[in-house]
Amino acid sequence: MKLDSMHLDILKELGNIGAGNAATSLSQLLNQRVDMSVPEVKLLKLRDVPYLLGGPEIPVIGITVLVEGDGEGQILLLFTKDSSEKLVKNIMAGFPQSEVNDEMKLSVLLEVGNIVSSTFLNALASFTNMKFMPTVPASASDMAGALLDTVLAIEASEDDMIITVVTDFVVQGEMIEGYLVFVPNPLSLAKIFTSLGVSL
Amino acid sequence: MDRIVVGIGEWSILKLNGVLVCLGLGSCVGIALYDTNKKIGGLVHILLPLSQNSDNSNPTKFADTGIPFLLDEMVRLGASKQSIVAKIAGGSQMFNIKGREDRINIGARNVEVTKDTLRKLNIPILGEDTGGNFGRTMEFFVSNGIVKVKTIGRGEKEI
Repeated sequence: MKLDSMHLDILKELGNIGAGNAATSLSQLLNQRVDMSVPEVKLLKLRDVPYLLGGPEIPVIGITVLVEGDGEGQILLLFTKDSSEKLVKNIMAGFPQSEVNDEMKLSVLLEVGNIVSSTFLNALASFTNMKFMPTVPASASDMAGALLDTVLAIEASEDDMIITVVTDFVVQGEMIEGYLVFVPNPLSLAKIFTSLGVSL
Repeated sequence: MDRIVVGIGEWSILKLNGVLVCLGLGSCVGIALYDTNKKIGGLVHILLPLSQNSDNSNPTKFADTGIPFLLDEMVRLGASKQSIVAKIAGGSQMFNIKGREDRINIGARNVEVTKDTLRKLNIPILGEDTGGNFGRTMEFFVSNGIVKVKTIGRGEKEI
């Protein structure tokens, strides 16, 4: 797969729109302002992917959906443990803390994953005129590297380089940092470019 | 003492002492090969089970090509095939998505093909910590062949 700067610009724009919409949906859910950095579109060597968030051994909570439809891929939403706790606390603000158990926290995070990835994919779909559907979300709490290598194994069957769209959001006042990692399957990436009238 | 981090699709070999490390293995598998007499240790960090249908530009990304590749390199550096043993770690399924098991359960296939490949090469597996749904860091001590496996919340063990 040969990508030039034009391809990367297009992906950046895709990431921007998708992540912008995702941040808006998160903002509505939290009823607070959510700031988002300009997404970084990176063409990474496999060995560098686990270092996206500062190291393969960093403990994180990950929520993932598989992307299906006209193109395949995977979205992984990552929060540090601290940030996930703050996020849940914000969303569950009306509930007495004593009544919030781990199971409730997890379903809140899964719902966040659901909303954010659906909005991201909707934006991608309208931009490309393709159909993308997320599976039900799944979660895991473990080392960042372990979650990221699983995403790589599912999507990177051919290439030694992989495209990632990474953005982080900060929820005002609370410094809740989240990362959205979108890894399109290399074959699907070609389809996306074709739909936009761009050849690879 | 050398401490070498072996990234996804990479491999490394040390003689006599030093530590070879795979950080945060999920569905990936770390395969440590050790010449017990000459204390030559090699570690390969594979991502996928089979190299078929691939351009195979990087043999050490796959279990079926990565293990023979590492073995050959070790022999080239003086190891003898008959005294080589293996220890393996990783191959988890980090996420569980109902109805999509075939697409996501690459960890189990990685372990399966790793074991098949080692069997075909007549390399005995002396230690193993594979499967489950959690991440692992693997440290291979070349001075004595011990492999330490570290986890988050599931402690540390020697294999």
